[in-house]
Amino acid sequence: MKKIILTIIGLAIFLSLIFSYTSYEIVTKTSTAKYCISCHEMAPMRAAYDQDVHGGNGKSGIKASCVSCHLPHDNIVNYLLKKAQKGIKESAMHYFTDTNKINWHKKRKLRDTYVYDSGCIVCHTNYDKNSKYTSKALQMHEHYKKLLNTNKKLTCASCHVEVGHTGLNNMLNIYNPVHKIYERDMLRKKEKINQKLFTSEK
Amino acid sequence: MKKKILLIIGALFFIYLLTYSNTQIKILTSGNELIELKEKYPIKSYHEKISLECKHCHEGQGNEHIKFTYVENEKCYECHGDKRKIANRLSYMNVLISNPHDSIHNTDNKQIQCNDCHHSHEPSENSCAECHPSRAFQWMKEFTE
Repeated sequence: MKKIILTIIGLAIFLSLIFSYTSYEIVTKTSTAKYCISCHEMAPMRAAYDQDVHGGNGKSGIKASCVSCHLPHDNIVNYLLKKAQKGIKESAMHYFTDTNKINWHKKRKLRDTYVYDSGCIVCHTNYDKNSKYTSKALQMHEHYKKLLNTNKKLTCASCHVEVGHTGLNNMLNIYNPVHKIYERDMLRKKEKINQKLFTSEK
Repeated sequence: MKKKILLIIGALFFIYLLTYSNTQIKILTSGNELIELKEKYPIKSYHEKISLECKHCHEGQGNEHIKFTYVENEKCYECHGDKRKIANRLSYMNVLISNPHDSIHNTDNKQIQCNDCHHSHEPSENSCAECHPSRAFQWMKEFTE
């Protein structure tokens, strides 16, 4: 009898270890930029990310990953739920719809729905009192705090329009010019960027 | 005689104008001044969306809202980044030398003001089109925000 209980306990520990390890692996492996770009239609966003301090283009070379900003970080349940929800939605979009028809220029206007302040604040903890910020930045961050619990709530991305993706407007115009007159020149640029992007991916 | 009468009428009219404008200021600077002014000078859509207040742009211009005047480029740069950063945001346009924020007309001697195109309290306009009417709207949007 004692043996059976011990075996069950041992088995339970073993299985939960395996379960935690595999879920950890799944969550981390599916959170890299390399993984995200394999399915999401994100070449211009990725190229712009590479130019940004958040993409490693800073003195330290430290990178924030896609999920650092694009998933909520207020609690683990919410994080995992959103991750699963987005994963399913994005895969369905990728396989069943024509993603070339997505108007990314318009989607940018929805940025406050897909950039999560809770993610920004994980790193930028003292955004409201960092003495190295300009007085304008501090004034605006006070403004942000003042509106936090109102129906006029702002998000970090309301003002930081290209944050994480320096030159995003340029990139989107290179991939899909708003004005026809640029099309020919942009095609050449796009090929160059794609080459760099997808050869370095391998 | 006729001249004198005309002069008197003119002077009276001038005094009337002065007092009229004074009362206007008095009305606007007292009581519901902010509401009235905000109605008279609506701010552009995105600034409105992020609930900017008068002081955010007009700080340093005193406390009387009616005396607020347009702001210099430097004020815009405080939030939007400096001239270089703004120019870089449209750098894809450089291939046709049509980047309005990196224009050959914007020299040290003649600085283009943000306000030349981007108005805060009235519809913006595309000043490039004044001299380049046929090309400007191929290069960029007709109306700027």
